[in-house]
Amino acid sequence: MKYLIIGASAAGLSCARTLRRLDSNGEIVVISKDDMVYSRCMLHYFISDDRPLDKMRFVEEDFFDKNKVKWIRNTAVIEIRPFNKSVVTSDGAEHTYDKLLIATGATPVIPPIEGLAEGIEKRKDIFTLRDIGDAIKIKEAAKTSRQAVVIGGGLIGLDVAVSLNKQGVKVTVIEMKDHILPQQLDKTAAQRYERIFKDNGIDIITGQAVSNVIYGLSGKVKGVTLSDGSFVFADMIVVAVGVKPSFPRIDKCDLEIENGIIVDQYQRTSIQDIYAAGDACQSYELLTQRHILTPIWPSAVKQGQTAAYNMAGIGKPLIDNFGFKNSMKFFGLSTISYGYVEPPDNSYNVAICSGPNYYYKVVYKENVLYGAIIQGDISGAGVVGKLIQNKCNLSNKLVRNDWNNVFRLTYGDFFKQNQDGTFEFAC
Amino acid sequence: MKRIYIEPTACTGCMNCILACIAHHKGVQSVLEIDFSDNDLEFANNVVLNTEGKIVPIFCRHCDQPECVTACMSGALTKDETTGYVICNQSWCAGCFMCVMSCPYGMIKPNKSGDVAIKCDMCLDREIPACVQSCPVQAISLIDVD
Ligand SMILES: Cc1cc2nc3c(=O)[nH]c(=O)nc-3n(C[C@H](O)[C@H](O)[C@H](O)COP(=O)(O)OP(=O)(O)OC[C@H]3O[C@@H](n4cnc5c(N)ncnc54)[C@H](O)[C@@H]3O)c2cc1C
Ligand code: SF4
Ligand code: SF4
Ligand code: SF4
Repeated sequence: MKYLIIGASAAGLSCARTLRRLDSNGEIVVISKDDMVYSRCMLHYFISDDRPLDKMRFVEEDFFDKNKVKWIRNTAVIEIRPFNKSVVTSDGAEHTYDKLLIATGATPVIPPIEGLAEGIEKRKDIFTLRDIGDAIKIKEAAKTSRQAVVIGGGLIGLDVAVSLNKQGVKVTVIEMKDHILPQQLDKTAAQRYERIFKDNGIDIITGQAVSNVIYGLSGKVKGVTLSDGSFVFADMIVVAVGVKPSFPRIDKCDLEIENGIIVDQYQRTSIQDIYAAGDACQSYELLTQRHILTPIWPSAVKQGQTAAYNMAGIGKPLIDNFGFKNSMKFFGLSTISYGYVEPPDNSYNVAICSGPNYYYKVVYKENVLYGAIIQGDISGAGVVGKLIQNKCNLSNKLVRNDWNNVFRLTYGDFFKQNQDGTFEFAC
Repeated sequence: MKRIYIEPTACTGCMNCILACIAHHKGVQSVLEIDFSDNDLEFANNVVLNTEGKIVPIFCRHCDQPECVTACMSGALTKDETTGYVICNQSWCAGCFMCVMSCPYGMIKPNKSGDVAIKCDMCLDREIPACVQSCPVQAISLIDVD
């Protein structure tokens, strides 16, 4: 059996590792555009000098040897040919497979802002952050930059802002919504961060879109204008408004695609023997009960593992694909959030508990949790995540049915132990 | 591998297991050697009072499919193939706390200074885990599992 995996990141390498565990003899080949293995989630630590290049990998140093995986690096797959059961790489070579995994991740979205797209093509002072090459370029540019604009106040935008700030660059973050981290936090939790950012010298502008990129006479970036007509000076710009799935062209075949490659619970695409996992795919998600993109690291790893089982012929569905969980830490303040951070409609309620150093909130309906924000002391947060993921009925768990007691729940309220000492959730 | 089996009905809530875990993390043999004025005392286990008023000791399961390891984007968390234990290499940890977000039982947490994760390491340097050894009523015991 020959397994071919495109992509050497969260989904691709978790698939390779699992395949080797399940099939000791099969041939496993990984092809990646990446020339090294590194965790994308740590790229901002590289920019800020908190992590050297040789501490960026997320698998053991001898991963490929140990798992007998052949790695063709620094090579892009440009086309998949399902009829030949092969892929074609940028060097013109053709590689065959019996089972193929597409784990090619995502690429940054470039918003339709005047002057932006051509600026990215032509100039060195506009960036996105997705791979290590981007991080190296941003770090290099930070050395001579005095003032940067980050377009997008989501997780990646803020990661970049903090790392540039650490490198002594004056940063302004511009977020279109009325608060930063609109997908992860409500306004209260986000405003705590906005204050901390300002205290640390990072400017945050919310409720404004960037309408124009302005270039100086020399062709270098001079700044951006905003929807209210104001001008923000910058000699470098980082664009971080989101990502979209990315994958090679597929020859003469009806691959079912919406935003990403649609897969079933076995990570199978609509083409036989082709699987997809991670940011590139769109899969059945628990909270929304729909096929959606789940572009987070834990989902990519789980989907890669699930694909491996099914590629090796062991039918195993992914039953706990929960895509709405986030963990963040800026200037020492940690927050974890799950599910809906605001009630989607007025059939939902909220309970809040807060103090100077913490802010806890849940969104619930009847006796079930649908979302939570845990800011400050995050110890034990995972229990809340599990309650949301499993849609546990909490009717017997809250003293006097008072929702303010929800914040006291621990695993001790759901304790159930099996003979072998493993835990279950009693609810 | 071994797992710490829990008998909540036997637990009196004396917290000896937590003290023992603090001593283990401080690298000292006895609770007497702990300086309680230190504010960096760490423990990886817990004893909680639930809403029914029952005392429940909780310990990391070193899960067969550990959610914390799945979530770890730095590779600091691994399930050791030979021992079966889930270990956090703190010198590799990036402090992203996706593991805290993902452990369904709340058994991994930020350390006191909030820069890396801390969890149970099964006291691998000792013959019997400090917590198990210190429990006066055998509410926690070691069992063999495969
Ligand atoms: C700065 C940053 C911070 C992040 N922080 C977090 C976080 O805190 N928590 C979280 O959950 N997620 C975070 N993410 C998202 C997380 O990194 C992704 O969800 C995860 O990496 C997806 O893994 P993947 O394997 O699907 O794809 P990717 O990690 O995108 O990897 C794709 C792989 O495919 C290769 N490839 C792509 N196209 C081709 C081709 N045509 N031919 C050959 N090879 C190809 C690439 O070289 C790469 O090896 C962050 C992302 C970034 C950029
Ligand atoms: S920390 Fe949690 S998820 Fe990880 S092994 Fe322990 S109990 Fe399992
Ligand atoms: S906090 Fe450390 S151990 Fe936990 S997921 Fe992040 S890098 Fe891994
Ligand atoms: S085994 Fe050791 S590290 Fe784990 S809870 Fe017990 S004392 Fe703490």
